Amino acid sequence: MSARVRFALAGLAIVASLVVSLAVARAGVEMSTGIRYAYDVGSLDTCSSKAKAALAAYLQNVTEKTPGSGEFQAYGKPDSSGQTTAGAIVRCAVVGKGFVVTFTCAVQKPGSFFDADALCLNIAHNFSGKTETALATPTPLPSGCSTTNLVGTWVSDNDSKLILTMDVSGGLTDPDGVSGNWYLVGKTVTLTYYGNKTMTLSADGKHINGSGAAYTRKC
Amino acid sequence: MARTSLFRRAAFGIALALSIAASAAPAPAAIDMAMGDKRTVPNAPLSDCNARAQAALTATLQRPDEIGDGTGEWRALTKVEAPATPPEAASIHCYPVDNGYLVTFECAVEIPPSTMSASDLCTKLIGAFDAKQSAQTGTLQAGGRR
Repeated sequence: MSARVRFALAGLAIVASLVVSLAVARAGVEMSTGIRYAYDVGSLDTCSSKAKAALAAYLQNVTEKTPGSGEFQAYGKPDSSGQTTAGAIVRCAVVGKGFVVTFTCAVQKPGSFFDADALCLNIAHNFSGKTETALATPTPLPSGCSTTNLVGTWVSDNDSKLILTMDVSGGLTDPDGVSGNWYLVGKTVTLTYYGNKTMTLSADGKHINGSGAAYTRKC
Repeated sequence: MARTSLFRRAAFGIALALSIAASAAPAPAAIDMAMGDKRTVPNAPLSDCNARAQAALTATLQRPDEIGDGTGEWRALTKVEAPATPPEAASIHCYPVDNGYLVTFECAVEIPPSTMSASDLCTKLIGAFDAKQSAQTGTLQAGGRR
């Protein structure tokens, strides 16, 4: 078998594996249902106004199925690609002198930072006036010369080629791939990189000095 | 000659596979939700609603779970092979009213990969619910403000 043919077959195998991996990586739906409140006394209008407010607290573009139906739907804010990853339905129905209200939520997984159960529980609690808990949100990457962390790129004051990249989880790496750790308490820095170094963070968050080393953060 | 032919076939295969890979790449997906029309069924026990809900969800998606025993709250997801995640889900709520019951339908799909809208899924689900005729029920009544 020639090298060209071998190369072609290897390419086929790689592409085939790519197809398989992409095929299983698609997003799916996570649905939450089951929360239902029944009120012996109360009007559909009361239920509707609470339902609208509860949906608007977590989602946007609340719409009623048909005017006066007491059935509402809303979606989450579109993500960076313009797609929505969460939605919910709150339905009110008159029963006797009161009403029953149901909550149904759906989120895209992966995609949504919170799950459908958490969304529905919060919407229901908003409706009933119970305690709500904050939904998970994406953790913003620290930026600038923060004095509360060392995240960023640090250049050695003694060797401009020695650059340490420090991450949010307390890890660091140098250009050779050597890894270490950083720890900050107040202004005191413990750098584990070729041994432990105790250093001090400057008031502007831009410099660390001590144990015979000094670094300046790019920010 | 034979080697050249083999090489061309392999190259064609790669091109074909690449185009499949490109089409398989996940496009931005979005949640689509829909409410089916609610119904009031007079002169029927809640167990009738539960039986019809289970049958409808099983026929449309797969065997559902009841969210808490005896609640009348049913949910099912599309059947998929792990690690894939289901692109379609639906719920049916049964609630006793007077001597009958109230039933609602909710659907959610992820588009893509689902090729069916949430509204279409709910239409299918309601059709399956209606198809499961009950010996105890009379005619279905469209729900609405009472």
